[in-house]
Amino acid sequence: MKEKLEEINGIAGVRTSFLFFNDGELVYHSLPKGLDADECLEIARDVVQMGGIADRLSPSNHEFEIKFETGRVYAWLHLHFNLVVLCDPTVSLSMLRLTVNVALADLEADKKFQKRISKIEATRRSFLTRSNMDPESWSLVEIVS
Amino acid sequence: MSSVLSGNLAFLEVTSVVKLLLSDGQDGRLILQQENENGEIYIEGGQVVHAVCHAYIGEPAFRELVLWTSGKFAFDPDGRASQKSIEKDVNQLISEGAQQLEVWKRVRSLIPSYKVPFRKTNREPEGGVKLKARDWEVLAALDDGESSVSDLAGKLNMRDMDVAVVVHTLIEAGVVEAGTAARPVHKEVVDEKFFKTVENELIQLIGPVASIIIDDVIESMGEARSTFPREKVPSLVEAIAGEIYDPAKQLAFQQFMLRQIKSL
Amino acid sequence: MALVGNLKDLKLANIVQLNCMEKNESMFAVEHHKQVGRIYFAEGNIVHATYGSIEGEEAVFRILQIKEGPFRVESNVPPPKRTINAAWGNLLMEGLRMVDELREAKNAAMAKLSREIKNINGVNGVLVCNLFGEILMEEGIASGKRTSAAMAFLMRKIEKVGRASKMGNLKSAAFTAKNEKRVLCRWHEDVVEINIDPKLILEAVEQGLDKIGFSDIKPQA
Repeated sequence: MKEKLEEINGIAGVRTSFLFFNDGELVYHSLPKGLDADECLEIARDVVQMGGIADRLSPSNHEFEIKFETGRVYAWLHLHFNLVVLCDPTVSLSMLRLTVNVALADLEADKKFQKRISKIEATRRSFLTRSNMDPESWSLVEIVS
Repeated sequence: MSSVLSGNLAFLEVTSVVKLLLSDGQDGRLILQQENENGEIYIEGGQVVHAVCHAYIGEPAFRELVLWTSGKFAFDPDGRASQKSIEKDVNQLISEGAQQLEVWKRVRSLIPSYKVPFRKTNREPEGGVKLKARDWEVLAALDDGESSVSDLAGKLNMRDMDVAVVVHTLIEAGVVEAGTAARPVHKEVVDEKFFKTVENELIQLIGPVASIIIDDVIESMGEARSTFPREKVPSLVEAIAGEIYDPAKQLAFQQFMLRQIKSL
Repeated sequence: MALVGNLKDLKLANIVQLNCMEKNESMFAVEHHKQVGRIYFAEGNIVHATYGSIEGEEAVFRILQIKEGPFRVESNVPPPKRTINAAWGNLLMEGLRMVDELREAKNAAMAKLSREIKNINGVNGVLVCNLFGEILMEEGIASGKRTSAAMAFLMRKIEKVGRASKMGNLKSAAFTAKNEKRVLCRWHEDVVEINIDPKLILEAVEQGLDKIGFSDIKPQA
């Protein structure tokens, strides 16, 4: 399972990546290049919270592409799990997409992985709780719900 | 009188909060939080007496905290300093802090990230600019070529923030400029045999229409088989995969191509 | 501190009214975009105001435009000087009229912007909302309160991620779901959501936005 994700980190321009199950378990993360590990984890959780909101608008798999001045955040949110990748602006999105598609397909075909995700009942919405966000954001969550 | 004051640093700068508390004659502990970082400033008898931030204590901690422009603050009127780490007069401390924040804002406008590379311009410092020893030290570290702020900080064993201030000075003096983020690379072209392999695989998946699709995609990318750049292969694969409607075949093609790209 | 709060919860007009009716000698101070606005009350009137380096009635008008920001009111603060002689009721009315005019200018700029974005190839609809999820303008698709709240939430999170990752300001973001794709950008203090054909790539939208001068469209104040 791990080596499939290692490939993603091998792509030029990828700083770090995280894989979360919807029940909150962090399955995998790589050591970030030039960023604090806890900070990255918090960022990844924020991205999954965005997924919780996106799910409420249209329940499906999601792909996020967020371009900042000096970096990129990409995310692939599937039924039971979430992959968040932090990159330099120079990363090749095509290469990343290709690698991620193949890695996630391999992962979903993996027996052990299937067994683990079959036990997940929680949805991404479980990341959206009053206690882990500011009051303004929470009131927005309540409107969307 | 309200017992607890709290708020957002995006609206109220740290120096403003401290001034507000001082003007209100409050004693206590100002707790600051920015993402995962925490800091504390202690006020007693109209003076700032103690500050803590990361490993810093006293004035260095205060200097760091005044630069925080996001995060939260909360005031705890019962907090008392465990020690006195700041002797400087509070007005001087605050005015220095405010000046520093101004400098810092200017620095951030030229250096948006510690990862952006800089290089020497090999020009003389612009009229009247006197470089200090530390400025020369950073400039000398750029002799090896392009470096980012965090590279330089690592080399010189300085803090990122301090290096950023120096680099800012050097940019303003005209002796340093932004480097080429993308270094000039020799454009590598893929072997024509590569397209044969791709074509064979694609024919197996979707039939004889494969070669037409490949040519269409190459053309739409403004390229030709004989001079196709290696760096564009992932985009090519993505575009071709988009033409395969059966998801299983699409994945099979992507898996195959990923192996091919790795062996290029 | 007599009163601490945020202007988004309590309207400035009410605070002015309260202080003038009660004939308080007090100072109202608000911070907005790192600028401080102050209004001094005495003898049942507004007697002095500052906003950054601006003084007098003009400062009151600027402060009236602030919709969000922490404020405090301190009692028993004598005014440092007198720069305003108009009766507070007239001043407030004039100020609120200017706020309306500005809002109209902003709406006009926003309408132009939405129309032009809607005309970009592959764009199905445009929504402009603020960070509190209030819909300011819609074009093409009627999105509704839930969508605008979701977009405001996403923008808040995006900006948090940008700060935490030290990646700087947002350029643009694309959110792709099964049958839809949304592009999110910041426009001044507000959020622009562009509903696009899922096949369209983010770069194509960015080029379209560049062509219409997206980042240059400003409300004429």
